[in-house]
Amino acid sequence: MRKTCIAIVLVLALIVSAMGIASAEGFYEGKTVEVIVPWKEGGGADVACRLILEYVKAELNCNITVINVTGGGGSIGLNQLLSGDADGMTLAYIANTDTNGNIMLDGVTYGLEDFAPVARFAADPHVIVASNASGIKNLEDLIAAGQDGKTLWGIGGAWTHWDFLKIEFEKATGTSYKRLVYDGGATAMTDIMNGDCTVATPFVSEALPALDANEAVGIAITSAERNPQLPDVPTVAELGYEGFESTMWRGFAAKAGAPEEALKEFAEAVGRACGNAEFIEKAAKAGVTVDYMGYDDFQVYFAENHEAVKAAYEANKDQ
Amino acid sequence: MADILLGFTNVLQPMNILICLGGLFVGVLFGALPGFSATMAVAIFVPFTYVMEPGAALLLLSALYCGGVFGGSIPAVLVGIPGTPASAPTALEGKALVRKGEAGRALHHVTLSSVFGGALSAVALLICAPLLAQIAKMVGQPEQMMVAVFGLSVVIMLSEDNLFKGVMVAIISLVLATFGQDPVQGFPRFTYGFKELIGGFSVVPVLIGLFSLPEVFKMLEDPHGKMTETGTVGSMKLPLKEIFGNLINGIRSAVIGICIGIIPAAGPDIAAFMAYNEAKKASKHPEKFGSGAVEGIVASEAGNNGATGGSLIPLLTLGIPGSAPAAIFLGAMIIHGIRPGPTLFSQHASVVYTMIIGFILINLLMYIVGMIYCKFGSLILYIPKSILATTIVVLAVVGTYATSKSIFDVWVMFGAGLLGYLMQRNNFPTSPVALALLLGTNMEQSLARTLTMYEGRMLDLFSRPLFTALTLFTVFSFVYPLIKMKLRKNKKAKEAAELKEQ
Repeated sequence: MRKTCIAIVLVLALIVSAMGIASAEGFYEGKTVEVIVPWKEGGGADVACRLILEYVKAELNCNITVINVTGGGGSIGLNQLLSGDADGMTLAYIANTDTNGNIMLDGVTYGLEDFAPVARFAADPHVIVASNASGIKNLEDLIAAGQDGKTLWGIGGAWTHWDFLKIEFEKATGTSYKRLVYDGGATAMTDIMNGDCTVATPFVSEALPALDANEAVGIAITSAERNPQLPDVPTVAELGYEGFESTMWRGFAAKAGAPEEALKEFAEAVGRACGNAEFIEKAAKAGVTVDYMGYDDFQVYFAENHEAVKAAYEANKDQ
Repeated sequence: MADILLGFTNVLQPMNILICLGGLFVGVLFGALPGFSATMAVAIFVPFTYVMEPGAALLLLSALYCGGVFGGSIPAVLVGIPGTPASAPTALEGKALVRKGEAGRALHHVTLSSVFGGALSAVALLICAPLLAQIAKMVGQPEQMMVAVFGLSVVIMLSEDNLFKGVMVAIISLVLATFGQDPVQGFPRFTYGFKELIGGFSVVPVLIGLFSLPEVFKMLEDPHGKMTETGTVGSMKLPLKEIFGNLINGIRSAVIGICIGIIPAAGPDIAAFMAYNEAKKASKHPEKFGSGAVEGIVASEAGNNGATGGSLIPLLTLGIPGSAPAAIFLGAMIIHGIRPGPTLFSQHASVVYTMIIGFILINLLMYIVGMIYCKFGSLILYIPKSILATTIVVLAVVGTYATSKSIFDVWVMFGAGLLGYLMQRNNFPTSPVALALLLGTNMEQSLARTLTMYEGRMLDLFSRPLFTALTLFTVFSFVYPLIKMKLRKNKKAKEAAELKEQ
């Protein structure tokens, strides 16, 4: 055991020295920033965060550690962010529905004013897919199947953007489906492939394996424009539901009260990373749709989005 | 075929062999330290692989994964603390062998059966991945639920001496697994106002505490003693007869491991318990299990390493990860622009075959790396228990905190440890806790989904062939040990009566 201890110290020492410590200039330069990802390793949020943070790290000349704190529909990780200091050294991944935690999730106390929004870096569309066994081939079939409320609609988690996409789609098309909750889009895809689930709304990267192999049917995509990875899948809007757009945006937030200059610096670094050609190429391959929104714009968007989600929830919470 | 040969030449490049060896050395270390796990090893090194060639990156991650799963068994044997939950059954047997002064023999068995299980799973990955993927696709929610119930039947075999206590522990642990949000509406249950409990108990801290601390407390009962009563580690030599005597056991366990690995949400840990269970059922001397049965070690290790390759099959062919480390693999592959799924083998053949051939090589290299670790690792048996105990507590705390940087988890770990000690001192088995926690969440989720899918027509479930087969297996698995126990009791009573008559 002693030997293993010495070994581990040596390994750690190597890692630390490899990272190097630069002289301090910007707020973050030479420091170690923690970014909490409240979702599990290997998932859509995790992949997107790790990818962009590699480039943000280089921009800020700092060290960034990603910690996956999972559970509670993301609330465990966000609570951990809020229980720490508002010093700007800890950030968290945040998405559409998180600021409404206190009204959507029992036992969660945080809300809009607890967070200091930093920047948005992506807005990922969902692909509406149907199983081969269902016989649903296009949006028309899908709407026909949504008349009796018995068709299974697989979502990736309770009360996150997955639920809202379903609500928005039902409202736009006057349909209703039976909600079936999975723990991620990839798990739902398994059941689409074997026909147990009828419809699901995975992210592009989660849907591609099955669509490539013709193991599922791509019905429509929920962004305003078609996705370069799936050029043959039409948008919901172009199929007659003009203005329909529902994407999962991905961004970073800190605890409210964190120093503004620091957060601005971080947001600018995210912006420069989003302009990096190498990052854009890698993001496209990973199915991440880069869509940067800087510090000032994001403040406004963050609050607007909060109200929109809140209204949608209030109208549908008894579902 | 050309792709396979290309894979060979890629793997055999000196740099790639070095990467495999390095990954193994680090992976085994992560697996061996209580509190650190195979998943952590893979997660920590993912960022480093971004700058590597895709083939080399996947080799490194594979080596870390295989090494991590193997590494957990070294402390399981030496100090009775499984470095990862996947080695929990190994710990049940290993400790007894160490006490007898046969640590060397036990460790060699561990290494050999791990290599065997891992290599066999790698071959399965190479030869019949597309075929096994078809089976993976048949495993839907109802089947996953049944597999979990099937897994719980292992509790009966684990607690044969005191069935009542074993089953009670399992049921209470299943209730513990329901703490936190329900899987459908997200309503928090049993949180007692703790925000940290909204997500339920994290399984990892509970298991770290439960497995490490009771052993630590036991060490402190005799702080100046050493782990071996005989004072020797014993020879590592194994007679050929003993190796071949376990061949069938090894093959059976590896096949169980591969099959469990394929099922999403059941990884090496469940595989080890299931393989151990079947070995005990098949053994001529099931009564020796728990007091140093080599068969148990072989089954557990061939099983958990068999799951390593198995869990990659649905990942590579369908894009569905079969275990936690496989999920991180998925992330790493996506970042390299290699999208797992049916088209993987045609679009990225060179990379995939490099990885699969590498998997075979890694498992063979594991024999060398493993024996080195075992040889030096066994020296800790000469360290006084007081020093050993302190080191283990430090590692357990650091490991728990490092996973999620949450001090609440550290308290959970200590609580679980204290509870585990009290349980062991009062002859309550602790393994059912691990089984119930590892299976409970998944069982609840798949049950909820099955209920939604088959609302109002539950009998239709039996139109699914795999579900029906699993149900029959499960019933058999619950009833068989009970009948066997009853028969043995009757036989004993009869013998006693005959003795009296004489």
